[in-house]
Amino acid sequence: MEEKVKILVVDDEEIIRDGCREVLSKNGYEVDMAEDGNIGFKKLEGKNFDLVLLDLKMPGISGMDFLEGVRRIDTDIVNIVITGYASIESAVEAMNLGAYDYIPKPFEPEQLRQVVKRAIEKRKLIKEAKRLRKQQEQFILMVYHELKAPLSVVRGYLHNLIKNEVIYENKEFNKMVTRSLQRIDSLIQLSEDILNYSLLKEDKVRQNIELISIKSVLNDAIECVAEESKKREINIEISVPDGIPSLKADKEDIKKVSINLLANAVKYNKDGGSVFIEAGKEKNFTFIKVKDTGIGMKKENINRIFDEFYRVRDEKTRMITGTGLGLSIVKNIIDAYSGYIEVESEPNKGSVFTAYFPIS
Amino acid sequence: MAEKKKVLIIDDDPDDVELVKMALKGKPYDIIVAWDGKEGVEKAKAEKPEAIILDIMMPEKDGFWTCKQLKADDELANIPVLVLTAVGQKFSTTTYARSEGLTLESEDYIEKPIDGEYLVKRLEKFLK
Repeated sequence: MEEKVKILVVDDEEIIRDGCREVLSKNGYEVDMAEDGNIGFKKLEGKNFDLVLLDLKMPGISGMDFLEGVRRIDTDIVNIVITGYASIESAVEAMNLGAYDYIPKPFEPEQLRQVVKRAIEKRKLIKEAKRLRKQQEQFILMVYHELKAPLSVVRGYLHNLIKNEVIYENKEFNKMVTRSLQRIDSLIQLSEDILNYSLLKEDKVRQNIELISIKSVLNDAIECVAEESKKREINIEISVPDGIPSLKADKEDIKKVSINLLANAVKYNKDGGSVFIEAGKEKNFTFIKVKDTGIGMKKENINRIFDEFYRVRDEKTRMITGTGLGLSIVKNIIDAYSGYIEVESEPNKGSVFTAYFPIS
Repeated sequence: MAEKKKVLIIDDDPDDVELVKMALKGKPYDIIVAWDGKEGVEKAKAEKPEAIILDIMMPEKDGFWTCKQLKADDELANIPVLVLTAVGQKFSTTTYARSEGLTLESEDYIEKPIDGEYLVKRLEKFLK
């Protein structure tokens, strides 16, 4: 449920305070009152107000000073000034100080409602902008960390290799070089994923919609993991019945989904394990199913694997590199097609990912 | 021979753990590894190390949480914590960190990449 809008009315005239409260409470807002600036500041400290209705002409702390004080406490509070002396100049001055709007005294209840309604809209916009800014900042921080951590590791290994004139035993040397290469490969993948993910965020999917053959897309995807699966002796089987409806989609989108699911099925598999890929039709959906005989996941991890940068970390996955964006990309693409994805998994047995795309 | 001193490293990245081990190789330290914050606090309680090297960005319980737990425990509060992280000090100045109340009370703060000699020097400062 949406939180109640909290409004603070600061006015030395009781009749105005009560009037405002009566009118605004009826609209379902939570209204608090203060008869002077000092009490107003105290109330602001105790609660997060959305709006402040402020009389400019008060004894003690002046309206203008109070306004500046509110701006110092929280720049996101939307201020409305009540100008008693019907002077436009003081309203302009207040708005220069950051007030959003003004109401000249005397005013009708409807006037008050209108001004407050507009101010609430403004407050919503401010909050939404702040939420987006925070989200963006969080993403940048994660990217910063995901870039810097592997680079630091590679640097550390290289530094050790060059510093030690007596070369490490072969085994140790190999380990450092191998891990460095793995981390660099993961960085290269990360740069791809960041681009893909950012583009998806701006709805740049579904650009070249055409009738595509799922079978050929899946075979392309298998090509991409062929080297890795061969090295680890993982067998990949594909079963696509004839006559499954071709999908109307951007080939690149479906390819990205398939490659990501398949790459995970290989990556989180056991050496010598298997991957089964299946495609078909179920009700009004075309589905792509990727099943593996890998390490699987606990239930509590399943809900989080689509989150940005989330990766299951335990003794089995510790040495596996990844960007943490693959499944976020998968999810975003599927969402863009109004489809959905199902995950079943059992630790030590394997996972099944099924992507459903509506047949349009 | 001098007895080895226990050092606990809490870090989810196996390569960082490896690099710390390499840096401390041949030094009189016994290295204990914990792969996340929760395990780290448990091992700190069980092993009573003489210093803790702590990563920040870890899944589940991160370094902020872990440091708070360590410092709130009377028996552990005196163990020096060296934060070793890829996220620089500027992280704590972001609106994100501030709005989440992410602050650290660690004794030291070292930014990755890990410079082995520097790490040893900082560690020795606490273990003398």
